[in-house]
Amino acid sequence: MIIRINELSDIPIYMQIRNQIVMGISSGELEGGEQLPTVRALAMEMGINTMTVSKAYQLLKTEGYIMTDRKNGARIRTSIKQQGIISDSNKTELKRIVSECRLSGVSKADLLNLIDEFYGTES
Amino acid sequence: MDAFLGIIMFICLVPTIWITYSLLYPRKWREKKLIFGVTNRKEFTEPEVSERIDTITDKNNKAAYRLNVVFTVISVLLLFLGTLPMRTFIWVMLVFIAIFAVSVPYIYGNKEMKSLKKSLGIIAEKGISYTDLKTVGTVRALKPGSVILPNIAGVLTVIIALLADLKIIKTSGSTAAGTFLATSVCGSIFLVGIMITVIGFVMDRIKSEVISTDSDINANYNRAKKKNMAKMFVLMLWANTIFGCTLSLLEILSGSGIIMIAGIGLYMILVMGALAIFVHTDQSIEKIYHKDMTVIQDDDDLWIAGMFYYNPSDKRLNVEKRAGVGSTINMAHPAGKVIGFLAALSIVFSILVVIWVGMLESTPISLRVSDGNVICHQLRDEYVIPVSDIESVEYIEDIRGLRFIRTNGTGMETLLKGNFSVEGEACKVFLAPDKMVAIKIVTSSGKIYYISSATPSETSSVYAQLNEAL
Repeated sequence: MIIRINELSDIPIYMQIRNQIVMGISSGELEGGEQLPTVRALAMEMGINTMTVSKAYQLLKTEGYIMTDRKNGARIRTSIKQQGIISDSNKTELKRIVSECRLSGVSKADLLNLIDEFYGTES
Repeated sequence: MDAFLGIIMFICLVPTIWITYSLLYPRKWREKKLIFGVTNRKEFTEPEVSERIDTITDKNNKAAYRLNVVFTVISVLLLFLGTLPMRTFIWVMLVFIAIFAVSVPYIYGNKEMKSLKKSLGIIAEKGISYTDLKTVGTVRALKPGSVILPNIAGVLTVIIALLADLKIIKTSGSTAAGTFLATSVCGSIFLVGIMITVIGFVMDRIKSEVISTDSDINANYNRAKKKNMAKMFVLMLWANTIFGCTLSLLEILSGSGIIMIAGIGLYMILVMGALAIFVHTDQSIEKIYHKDMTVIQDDDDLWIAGMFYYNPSDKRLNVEKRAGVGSTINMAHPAGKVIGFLAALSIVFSILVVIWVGMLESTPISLRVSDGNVICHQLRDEYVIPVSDIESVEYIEDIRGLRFIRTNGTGMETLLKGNFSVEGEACKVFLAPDKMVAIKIVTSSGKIYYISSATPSETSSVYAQLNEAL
């Protein structure tokens, strides 16, 4: 799985790593039980601070996407807890996207088609 | 002996400039990942743009080719002009100038390609980098087992040389035992081996490139490249160990300097051969994977003149080279700045040393008797031997029968100066060996001197004066 980092983006690097790993799990590029690189190796490869990668892994662990232990390092969880709810922050983000689409003249049908496409292929 | 040194310089210089030429100058740029250090893009396949790139590559490739031909011809001439004064100085300066000059058309090419990109309106997205999670820390080719044996062999040769110098091991026909020449030569070659090992592992752990969205392609591409590099390092290490240390020992055991020079020549051929094989295989790998290169990481602007990497946002010190083989440093990294400064300093220092050697070669030595002293003088060096201290004087008409082994000082074809071992005796030497004559002086304190002037007539005149004084 390829991670694309934009150093000049407003989104912090740890959040970019977290977001792309989440999308990777959702799309099936990262499978349950799959080993993730160590914090040190990934930081060295990306040319970023180890704390940044550590923060991303910590967040993913807290959110229940990965599990870590001293012996095996970080792995994707084989079963991710499905709460069936959209978080408040995601609701706010979705509201922003819908608003921008409406203002730029994107029809509701087109937006729903896009959601269908993303949800359908990535589920 | 000087002819052999010429051959070694020739073997170092000529293959290096031609290998550099094949690395830096793209003959079939459409199949390459980079054109003069600028990322090859889809936009470059447009007919009009292609034509302009053809012009840029043709012009700079031809310029580099002509330069290479000129330097090759000069090298061949130098190789066969046996009596040229200051030959060592000319050779070393030629190496410096040739290596710099061959990269000049590349720098022009890089500048022209960047202007072309700008004129096409291609603006690289800044700050973008790609990492393939599946290749992080998993693509390794250099196995510790493959470097242990040559390094152990290197240690053994150092130990054997040390034992020979300490006269614990008896050597036949050698007059160099006890001078620690063998230990220092073997030790230096062993340290070069350690350096090759360290660089090899650093290169093996360098960031894997992302060329495709398919992780398997990325893994295979990086594995192929690293395997090729690992092979080159192991071959270089073996060449260093076998042909360096073993032949240095042979030189000590047999007492023949020619064997050592021939060994170094053979070693250089092997190193250049390993490098040429590596470059050829690396280019083949690039060609095979060119069609799979779907991810473009355009960081051209971070490469000054397509050669020097400067990226303050990148925490890595070591990155893969754009032009040439191996890795280079990130000049924006604090340690990179220090290394860059030291590298520049070492280049300046090397040039100053070469100039100093040139002065040593071109300044004749002088020998005179003045105020009751024998005075040997050249540049800043002066040996003063009080005539009253001299116990015996001997005029040697042909010094070719003597073997001068340098302990420290200067040892050139036209000048021997410093502490030497002559026929197993520690001596002070200040003479022009190409003039064949020398005066051997033994002082009352037991010190031995071999001295001469710039001409045989001056030497014999000083000998006559000394005889008279004694």
